[in-house]
Amino acid sequence: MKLSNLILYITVLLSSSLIASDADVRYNYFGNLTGSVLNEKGYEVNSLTNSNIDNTINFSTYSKIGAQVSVFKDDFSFMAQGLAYQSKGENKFDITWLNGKYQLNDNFSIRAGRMQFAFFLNSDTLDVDYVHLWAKAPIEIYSIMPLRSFDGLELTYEKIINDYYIYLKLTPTGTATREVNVQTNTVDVDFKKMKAISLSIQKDNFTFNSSYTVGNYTMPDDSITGLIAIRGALGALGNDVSSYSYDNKKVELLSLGVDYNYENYSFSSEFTHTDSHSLAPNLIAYYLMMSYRYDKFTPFIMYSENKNDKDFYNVDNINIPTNLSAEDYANAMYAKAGLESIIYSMNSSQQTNSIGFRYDYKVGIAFKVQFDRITFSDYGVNPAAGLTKYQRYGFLSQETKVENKPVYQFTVGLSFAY
Amino acid sequence: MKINFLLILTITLLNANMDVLVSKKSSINNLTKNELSNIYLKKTDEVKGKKVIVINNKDDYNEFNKKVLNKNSSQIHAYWMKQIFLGRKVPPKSIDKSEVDSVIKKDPNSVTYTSDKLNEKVIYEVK
Repeated sequence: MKLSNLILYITVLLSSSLIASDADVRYNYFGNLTGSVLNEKGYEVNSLTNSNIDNTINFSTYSKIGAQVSVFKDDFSFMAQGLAYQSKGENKFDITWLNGKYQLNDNFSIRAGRMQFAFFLNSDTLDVDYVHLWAKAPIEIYSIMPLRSFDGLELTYEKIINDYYIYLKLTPTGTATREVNVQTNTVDVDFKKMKAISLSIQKDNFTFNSSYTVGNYTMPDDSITGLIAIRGALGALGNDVSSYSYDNKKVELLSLGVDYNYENYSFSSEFTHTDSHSLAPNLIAYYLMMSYRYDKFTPFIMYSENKNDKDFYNVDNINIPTNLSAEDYANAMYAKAGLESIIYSMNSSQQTNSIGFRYDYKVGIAFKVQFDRITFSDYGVNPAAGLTKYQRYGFLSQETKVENKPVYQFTVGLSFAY
Repeated sequence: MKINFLLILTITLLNANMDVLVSKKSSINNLTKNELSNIYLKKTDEVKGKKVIVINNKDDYNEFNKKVLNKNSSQIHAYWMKQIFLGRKVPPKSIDKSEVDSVIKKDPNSVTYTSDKLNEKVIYEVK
């Protein structure tokens, strides 16, 4: 039996006995009804797990509804959370949290079961839109990893030391699988042998967060059209093509974040460095966000950027011997161009300027508006016309032969949580 | 004269202080705003080496959150929603203002607040 399954079984067993006892049981729910649209034809904001957003108004990508049951009994607690949403016209339901927690003493606790990743500052609450100021999270950071929940263990330590609140979280083991949309395919991606550590330090109105996550990421190479054949052809010529793969590749994510509130002003920022060791480029990404609260009305501005490692797009290391026959040489050059096309399509370098507001209609209900201007950096070599549907897949897809220009995204929605 | 009196009374009522209280049996004599914030946001359940149980007073809840926790009602709701959906913590128990005195008398570890004047130990004056 897999460790993750064993942990889930134990969790369900413990939780059943908790619910049957005279425990404190709580029910909560949250949701988001949000529409979004781009101003330009020929572009799409990619969602690996929901529908893409194009120039027709779309209410399915960001809309969702979730419910949670929490049970508390002495030092034990249990939670189960489900999320319903739509993906490419299909109704989906995920169990996003399902775990049991035991408070070992005043400072230490252990949790086992299904939990959400904390790759970045807000990853583990990304579904609960109500708790965030923005109408949609900056995709430059929050689209880097398409995974949401993992099955594993978590140890936490929390203590106040000299007025500093310390929250340390260690994940010694974890594994995750999720269905994602890649180009025109739907495939399962895995994240195994996951280990993570995160630290949060708070004092007064200042919060600092950091996290480091490492694991082995797998996405079927055959989900990328032509990749296996191209890698085979170039490998047969003596080239090291092992990095042009998503098969069991080590991925490392480092994230640093700060949050500061002064009277009605608020500032938050996050930075991440990601090493993919795979077909995906290494990258850095960050955002800066400022807001000012006028009672129920909170306008904000945000800038976010994702910068890929340019060296990733350089395939000069791929050697095509000149002593091949004319036909073999032509085929080898065609394979190299194909590789350039594939890695070009991975480009997620882009910048977004955002302006928006949140209006707290009443406690538990917020109305949000966000207007984004998205531009992208054009690394790599343009693929031959007709080789792929898009010039790039990145977070903002661009169809072939579409002029490279700024794209505007308008998002409006209603979030609630009780 | 009558108008002046009413005006002063109105201003006094609008600026009515709120007291954070514990039982006279409690060994806690005073708390800082930061310590109050930590226990009311449940970052700890211990203060000055003593375990405490914090309790909200529904009638003075918004004023307390604003003046002590620096959060309006939507912000404090968002804070607790985040804690709940992360499976970490749940908000403190809430009681009516009329129950404050009996709750404090019943449990010496209880900490609560009220804008009423009660004959209990004041450990923080909310202005």
